[in-house]
Amino acid sequence: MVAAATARVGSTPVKEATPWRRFRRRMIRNRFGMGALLVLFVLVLAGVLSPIVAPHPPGDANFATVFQRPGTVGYVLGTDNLGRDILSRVLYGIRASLEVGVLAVLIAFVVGVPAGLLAGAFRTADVIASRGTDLLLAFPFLIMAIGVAAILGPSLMIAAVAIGIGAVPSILRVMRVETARIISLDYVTAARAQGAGTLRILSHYVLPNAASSLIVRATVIMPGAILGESTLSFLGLGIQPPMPSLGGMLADAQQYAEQAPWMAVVPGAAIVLICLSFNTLGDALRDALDVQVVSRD
Amino acid sequence: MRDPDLAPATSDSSPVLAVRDLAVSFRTDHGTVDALREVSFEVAPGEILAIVGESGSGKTVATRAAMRLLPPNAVVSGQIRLAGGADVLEMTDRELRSVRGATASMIFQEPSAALDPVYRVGDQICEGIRIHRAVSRSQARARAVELLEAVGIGEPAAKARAFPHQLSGGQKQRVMIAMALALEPELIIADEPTTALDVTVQAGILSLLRSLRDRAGTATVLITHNMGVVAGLADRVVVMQNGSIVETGPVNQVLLSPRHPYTRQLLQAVPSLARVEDSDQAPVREPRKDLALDVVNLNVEYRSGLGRPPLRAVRDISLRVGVGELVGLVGESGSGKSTLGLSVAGLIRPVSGSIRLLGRDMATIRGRRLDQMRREIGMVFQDPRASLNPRMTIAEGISEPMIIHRVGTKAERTARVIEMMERVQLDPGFRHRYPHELSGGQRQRVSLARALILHPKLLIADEPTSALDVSVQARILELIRDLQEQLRFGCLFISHDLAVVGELAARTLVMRSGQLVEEGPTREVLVHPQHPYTRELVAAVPVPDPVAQRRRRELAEEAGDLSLAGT
Repeated sequence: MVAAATARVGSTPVKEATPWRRFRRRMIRNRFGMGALLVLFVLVLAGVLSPIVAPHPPGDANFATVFQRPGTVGYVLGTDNLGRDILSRVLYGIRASLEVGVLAVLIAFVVGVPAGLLAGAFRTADVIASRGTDLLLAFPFLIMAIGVAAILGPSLMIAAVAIGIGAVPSILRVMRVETARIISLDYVTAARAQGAGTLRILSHYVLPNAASSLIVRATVIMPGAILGESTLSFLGLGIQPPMPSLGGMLADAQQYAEQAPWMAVVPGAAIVLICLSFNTLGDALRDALDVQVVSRD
Repeated sequence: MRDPDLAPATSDSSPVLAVRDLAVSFRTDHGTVDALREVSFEVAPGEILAIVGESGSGKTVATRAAMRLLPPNAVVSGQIRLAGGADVLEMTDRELRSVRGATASMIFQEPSAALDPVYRVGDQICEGIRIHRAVSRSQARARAVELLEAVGIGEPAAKARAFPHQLSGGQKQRVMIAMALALEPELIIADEPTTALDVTVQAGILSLLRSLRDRAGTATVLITHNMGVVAGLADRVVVMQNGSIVETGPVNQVLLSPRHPYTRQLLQAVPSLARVEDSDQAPVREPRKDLALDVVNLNVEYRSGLGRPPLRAVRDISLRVGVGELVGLVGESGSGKSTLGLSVAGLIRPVSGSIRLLGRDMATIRGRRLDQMRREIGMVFQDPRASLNPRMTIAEGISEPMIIHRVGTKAERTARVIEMMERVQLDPGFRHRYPHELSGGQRQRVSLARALILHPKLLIADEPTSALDVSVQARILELIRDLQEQLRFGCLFISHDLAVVGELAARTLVMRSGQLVEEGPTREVLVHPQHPYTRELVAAVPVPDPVAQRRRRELAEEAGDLSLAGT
């Protein structure tokens, strides 16, 4: 009887892929997105493996080989004013940039997501969090970073913390808006009516449904963080010499712009490539993920 | 407004809209989807043609194609001629713009979305006029006021200076109609023009459309799923199913002696007040002794900002629902019926009054005990898209209440989910799917299963079928009735649709502006309403019978007419 009754019901089940499969299909079809993903994969691999793949130790000065042009045998991308291999230094620099970027995003998430959840769910928390972010946004990021570096001494970790804190408002606001939106939906009301507590609603209902917005947000923050690191290192407040960083290399190149333009071009291109890839990937993810949030009926 | 004497005779002359062999398909991620297969129909001057069908039948696609308003992924073939002119599908963009609005114009379902919130409504009407006609600003303004008057808006000069948010839903739809009429088009395409409106407002809009046709001879294509609206307005009917026309004919023939089985099935699924009149259900005056829900003098208020008095959404309402009894709660939008449902579920704290669930006062218990009480309440909502967590599989969603209340082991929960899915007539094989893979009706079944998994004593159903097609609605209503007989829960069934409540409820309450205006056995309330508001509601419900509809209309017109009351 049940089988017969079931057969009667509604239209035939819609044969559609799971959200994951649909996401994957949309993603694969996006050529720019896939290109960006590929570039990032290569960059991450190069950064992670830099101690192995770099042809020279990054700090090795050699006064016999200063200002070698790109294309020189043994120094594919040339050397700098101290005769250090630029390719090796860029590889290490990419590694440092990615480290700072990932750390900064992690810090922003660890602070911003819980704060945004609370702000979206509770009125009092919202007042505190919103005024806090207003304050943070009103405070010039560089001044704050300089202050932190001055007090604690410049380092990769300090740069990451400063940049991460600077990115908290962005995550917090996305999380707050998503929380407020999702909490007002019928399925949350239904869960509350059946006795689900706030903790369960936030963890099982709000977070999974906000995940795609957060992922997209992360890919937007990432290039900002990497640029921020370059800026700090350029100003001498980030990664300290002799450890190479992309921003630091740009700072070194300034004096020799006439003599050896490649000293600036190579790390500059690396920064552009990383940031462009993340931005493109972010766009592609947004396109691929958005659709699934607004499912067709 | 066109002079009535100059209106074209309905008889000869070429059709205002001629659609021949129109086929539309959409390119999507899943390949090409056919939306329309070789559809042909015509609209004569001054004729009102209704296109009816359920969602996905292609009725909207057909008319959007006539204005070439389809999204870019549409592939269109066939021929569409407006007022004997060139083929719309072959026009250049410039030609197309000269036709849109001037020869044919459109009215949409949601007037608040179709009006631009930052412009005054008079200016919005003027814009269309000034695009197509060389008139001065003041002439256009004068014309806008004239049009507003023609569509039955009181104080038209003042209302022309109003912004959309200052108007009611019915007034906004009248403004939309005024915009559609501004250039005296030969054809108006109205896509579900009254679906978003309350029944009493709907009645006014329908009689406006009718009088416009009578006065100005404007031909109308009316897209609707509501057979009652068809009966009240249309001359001819086209019935569509899955992208094809299954039946066409004069309204009396199609509605009274339908030929195609699908038309018959559609008409049968329409809940009807007439059936309530005929039923011989024993009147139920008072609920039995064992009460599932006992609400006494309930007051609920919403704060409305500093210095302003709070909005009293529910005023001094008392109601009872017996165990195993289904009570209908009827009201129009803003009547406070949903607020009442939410406060009964313990989600909004009342200002005063008591809510007793199974004899225990909800106000005096808090914390853990209140959560325990929540086991005894299930809720079902209107929008099948929003009522399920998109990130949970069907099985996870249905078992949520058991997890929250720590009922059973994992294996027991799975067994109960399967049992419950069978009860709501869903294939248990669906349990690992996600909500977006189900149809609207299937999702409402999931909602029901989730609400009933703990065998609560009270089910609060807030418009559970109003977002569904009629045939799906009929099956869900039948399911709710069956489940209620099997599981003996009390049910507070909230709806704006009198006929739906009439089919289901033993007792009915009518709410207006937060107050109960009438209460009694359903049959008495709907057949012999005492309160004038209930009477007005019952009179405004369109019935799918053109003859009866005409009789009622004449009666209403004699009795002073609620149609042009300005809503």
